[in-house]
Amino acid sequence: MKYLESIRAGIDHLLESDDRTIVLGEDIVDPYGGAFKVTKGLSTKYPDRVLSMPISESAIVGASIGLAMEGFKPICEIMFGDFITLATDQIVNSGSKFNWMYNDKVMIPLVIRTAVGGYRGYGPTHSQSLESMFLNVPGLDVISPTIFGDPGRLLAIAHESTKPALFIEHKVSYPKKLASGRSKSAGILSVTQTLDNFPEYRVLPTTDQKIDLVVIAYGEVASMVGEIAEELFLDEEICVMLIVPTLLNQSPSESTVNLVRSCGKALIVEEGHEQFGWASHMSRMVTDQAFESLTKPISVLGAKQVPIGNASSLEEQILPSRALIKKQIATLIGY
Amino acid sequence: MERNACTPQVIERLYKTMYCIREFEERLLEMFSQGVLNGTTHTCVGQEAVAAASMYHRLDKDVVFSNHRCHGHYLACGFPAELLFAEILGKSTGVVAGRGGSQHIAHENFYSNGIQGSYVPICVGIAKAQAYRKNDAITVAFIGDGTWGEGAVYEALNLASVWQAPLLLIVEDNGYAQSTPKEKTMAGTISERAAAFNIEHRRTESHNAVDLWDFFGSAFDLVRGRRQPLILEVTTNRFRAHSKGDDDRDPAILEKMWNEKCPLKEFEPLLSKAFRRSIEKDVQSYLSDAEFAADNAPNAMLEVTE
Repeated sequence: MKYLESIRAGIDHLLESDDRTIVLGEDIVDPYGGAFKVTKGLSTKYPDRVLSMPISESAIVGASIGLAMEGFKPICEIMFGDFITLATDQIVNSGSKFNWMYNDKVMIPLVIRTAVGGYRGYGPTHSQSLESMFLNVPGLDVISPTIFGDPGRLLAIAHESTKPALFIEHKVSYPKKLASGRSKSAGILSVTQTLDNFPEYRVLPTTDQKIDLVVIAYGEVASMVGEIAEELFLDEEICVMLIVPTLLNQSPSESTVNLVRSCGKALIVEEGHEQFGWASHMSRMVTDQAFESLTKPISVLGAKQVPIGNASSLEEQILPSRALIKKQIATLIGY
Repeated sequence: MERNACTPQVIERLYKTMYCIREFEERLLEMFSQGVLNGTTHTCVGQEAVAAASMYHRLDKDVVFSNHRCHGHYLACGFPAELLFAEILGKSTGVVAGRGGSQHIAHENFYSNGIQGSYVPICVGIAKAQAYRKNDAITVAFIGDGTWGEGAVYEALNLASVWQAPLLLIVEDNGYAQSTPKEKTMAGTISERAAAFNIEHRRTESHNAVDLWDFFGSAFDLVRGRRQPLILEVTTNRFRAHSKGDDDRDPAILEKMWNEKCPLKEFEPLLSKAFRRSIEKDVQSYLSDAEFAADNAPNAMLEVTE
């Protein structure tokens, strides 16, 4: 199964199994089925609960919050992650605050799905990964599906939660096959899941070899690191352990810290701007706990602090590229 | 739907509610002067008739969403004054245990939020939920004339009209967006804006709670019965500052308001002086008990859960 199909099947299942589920968004109804076709077919199956919305992101999220306050379980779609800024007041000052500021009298079980990320040549306002902006908003979960897991199941976990969530799907991941769907013999890497609720994945070459480097990454850059790890193992017999969290607004898991301790070094990669972002904070948190065991400072890699240019040559220079990630890994391992 | 004429019981209740709001607000301002209150507060002295007359028609199943100036709306629903005093005083017994202050409260189906206009889209969602349930509950949102500067309002009105959501939007036009007179920042009229979204609009300039009781009664009936949005524009007068101590208006304007537009004075011909005094005495004693209890409650404390 592919990443996109898994999300679509997940939404379908939630509409079918829970009549409190309402899906709202721009251009999401058939025959168009959404800008990325994630909801294709769903409005035909559930015409009363898959709602075509005006180009009004504030109203999309606002109305979803209202539905959630009344016991419905909305899943709304913001077409491009960049457009989340148009709904930011609703997310920051209402959706994520209501539960606490109303002294737990209301719950907002809301999932805001949005397609984020670059590497597609969509230019400065259609390519961003703005999730770091939302990571220091209390009361909000930021969730990143991955090809190493089950995106549809992850959506169901977010839907089950009573807390609002920003569910950041990556455009480049949509057509990719999920790792679990690959045949065992073809796959060099094995994937194991730790943590029950919001899973964390460990991706490692199938070997007993000592781990040369721990890399922590989420979203599409995690897919890239997976491919790099495969190459490095085949070509150089280097063993990279990739850790892929799905819930971004949480401290590193104990097992992650332990892995970094025993390896002594780590690289944290994100697609968002590197300055003041998730990776920087993650690095601080891991360092706090693993400091004594580190042989090198934890290395961080993200996008440069300029808008994401339209030309693919600009994207290559601005976003963390495969070449750059690979180079950084080589530097850290010293091969 | 035919609505019965206003009875003496209704008049008594309207007066009692308005007096309760007036006294509550004056007590708050007094506490402020004494330095007991932290932060700020937005009183609705002068606007009491709108709250009393509109909330008279509220049913428990209706959802009401108010704004920074919400004390009158809350009290007019008959909710306990003690909880609101405690909230404003930062006590753990407050409406939301001191977490929100009066700009951010939730009690039964009543909410307030301090971001102008932000809750209008939320109310459209709540009204959509009511439409899904096919009962006759409605959603009421209070905004001010100044709130029409917020884009979220227009996104919401468009959606309310497209969805035919049972939303009653009550606009309390007190002529000022904080300190700025309406004419300086609002182009055109509210009725033209309502018309642009194909939403019915009704307007009144009365500050008489009996007139307003009738005005709001037929509006609630319309939204409840026809399941469609309606915008009400009510001209009202804020006698006091926007928040505590920030009034630059000409004292002559304020004096004229107090003399000519006081909703409580309007009731002098309707109720005998003695009867009014007995109502006022009851309210004073109710508020004193509430204030005392709130005063003596423990301060709000942070419970660390994570």
